[in-house]
Amino acid sequence: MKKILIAFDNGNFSEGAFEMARRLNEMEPVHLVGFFLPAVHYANEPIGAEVVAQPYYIPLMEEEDFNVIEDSIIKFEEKCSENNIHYSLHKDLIDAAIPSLKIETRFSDLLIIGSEMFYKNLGKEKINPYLKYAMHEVECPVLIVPEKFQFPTSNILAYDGDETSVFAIKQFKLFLPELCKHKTMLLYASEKNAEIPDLSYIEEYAAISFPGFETCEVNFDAKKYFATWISEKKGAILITGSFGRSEFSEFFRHSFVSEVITEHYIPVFIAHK
Amino acid sequence: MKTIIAAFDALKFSNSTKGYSIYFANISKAHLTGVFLDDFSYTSYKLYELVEEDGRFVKKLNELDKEDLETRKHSAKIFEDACKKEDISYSIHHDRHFAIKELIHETIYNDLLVIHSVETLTHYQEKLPTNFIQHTLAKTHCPVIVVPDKFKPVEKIIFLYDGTPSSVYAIKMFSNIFHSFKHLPVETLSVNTSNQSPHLPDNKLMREFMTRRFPKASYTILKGEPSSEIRSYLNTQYENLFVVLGAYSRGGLSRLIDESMADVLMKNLRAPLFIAHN
Repeated sequence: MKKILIAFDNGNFSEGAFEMARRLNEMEPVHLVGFFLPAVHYANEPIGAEVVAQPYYIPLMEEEDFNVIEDSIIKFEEKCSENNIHYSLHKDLIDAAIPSLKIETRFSDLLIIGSEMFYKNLGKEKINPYLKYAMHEVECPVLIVPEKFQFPTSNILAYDGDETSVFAIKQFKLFLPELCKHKTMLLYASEKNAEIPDLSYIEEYAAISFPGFETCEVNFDAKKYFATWISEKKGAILITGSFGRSEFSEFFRHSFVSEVITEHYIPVFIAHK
Repeated sequence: MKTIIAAFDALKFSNSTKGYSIYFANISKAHLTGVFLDDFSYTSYKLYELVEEDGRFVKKLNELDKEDLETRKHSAKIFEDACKKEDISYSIHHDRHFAIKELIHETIYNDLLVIHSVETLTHYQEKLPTNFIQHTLAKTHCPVIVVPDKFKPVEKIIFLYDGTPSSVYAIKMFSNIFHSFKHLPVETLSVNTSNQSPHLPDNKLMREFMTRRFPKASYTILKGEPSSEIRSYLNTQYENLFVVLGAYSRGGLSRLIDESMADVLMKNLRAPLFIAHN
C-alpha cells in the first residue's frame, strides 16, 4: 500500500490537495499521512530571505494558532473517515518542522501540496521559500495541486534531453502507475528546427511504458509561451524534473514550470535525485 | 510496462545474465532489451595474433573480424531464442561505441539493468569487483542487479538497512519494480556498532514503511563491524537469496578508504544483488 503525505500549514487546509489524495485512493487504496506544519509570522521574516539559499524557520505558537491547526486536523480526520481512507497524523508544531517533513518523505512514496494554500501568507506572486524548499529538498516525488483542477485523464511528459527529465518520467511510472494508462504526450519545446536529443531512445522508452503514448514537438519559444500552452490542457498532469537544480543556477535561469505552478493551471508532478 | 536491459559481452556470452534477466522480466512482466556491447575497440584477438611469417596481416585481420562477427551474431541469437521460448516482450540493441559510455547512456532510458559480476569488456579476467562493474555502479541512472555465475530462482529477500537515504531508496525501487516477490520471505538486516542503540535507525518510521510494503517482514539487528557481520550472516542462510542494498552513492575516493558493502558482497556472496542509490 502506498504511503502518501499531504502537507498543511497553520490550518490552511487545501481542498485541492485532499481531493487529489481522495481520487488516488479511489484508484488504489493508499495510506494518507496528514502532516501539519506551524505558521510563519510574516512580519518576523528576515529581509532578503528570498535571496538566501535556506529559508528561515520562525518558531511561533499562539493559543489561537493551536486552535486553527486543531480545526484543520479534525477536518482532515472527518474527510478521511467519510471517504474510507486509511490515515494517520503527524503534528509538528515546532520550528524544525520542515526538516522533519524531509525525513518523513524518505519513508514515503509521494508528497501532495496545495500550491495556492501552502504558506500562502508569504505571497502569491512567485513560489514561496517553503514551497520551493519542499520541492528541492524532499526525498520522494512531489505533486503540486491547484485548488481547482480536473483529475488527470492525460499526461504531459516534459522532456528537455537531460537525464533529470527522464528520471522524473521513470518515477511517475513507478509511483503513479494507475495514471500511466491515460493518453500520454511527450513534450519537447524547442527553438525552431532544433533536434530532439536521443529521440529514438526516449520514444522507445515512452512507447513501452505508456500505452497511449504520442510525441508532440512544439515549435515555440518555451520560455515565453509554455505556460500559456499548458493552461489550455485541462485534465492533464505535467511531469517534470525541474527544481532539482541548485539555487545558484535557478538565480540565473527561470524555470518555466514555475509559472505553471504559480498560475495554478494544472497539477505538476516533480521528481529529482 | 517496465523496461529491463541485460548487458552482454557477446564475445563471452553470459548464460547467467540471460537466465536472470529473463527470470526477472517474467516475474515483473517487463520488456527486456538485450544490450550487446559491441565496442569497436574490443576484439577476441590480440595484436600479436595478426602477425604471420609471410606478413599476411590484412587477410588475418579480416578472418578474425569475421569470426568475431559470427560470435556476436550467435550470442544475439541465443538471447533471442530464449526470449521467444519464454514469450517475453524483447528487443536487441547493438551498441558499437565505447562500452561503458553506451551502457550508462542506456540506463538513462530504462528502469533496471542486469549484468554479470565478472564482466570486464576486455581480454582479461579481473578480481571482483571488476573495473567495468565499479564504473557502471558509480554512474548508472537506474538500479542494477549484479548477478553471480550460476542462475538460481530467488527464495528469500534480504534488505540491508543502515539508516541512510540510499538504503531506503533501494527498498522503495525494489518494491515498485518487483511486486510479485511480496509472497517470499523477507528480512530486514541492520548492523549496529557497540555504542549505538539496539534499535533500527529511525525505528518507528522504518517499521511503518516496511509494514505497508512487506507486512510479514522480519527484522534482524546484529552488533559489530558491518562488513564482516553481514558477510558471515548471509553465508549461513540456506535459501537462494536476493540481497537489496543502497550503494555506490559515495565518490570513488571515499570508497577507496571505506570499501562499499556492494564490493564486499560481490567478492564473498554468490547471490544476485539489487543495488540502487539516489
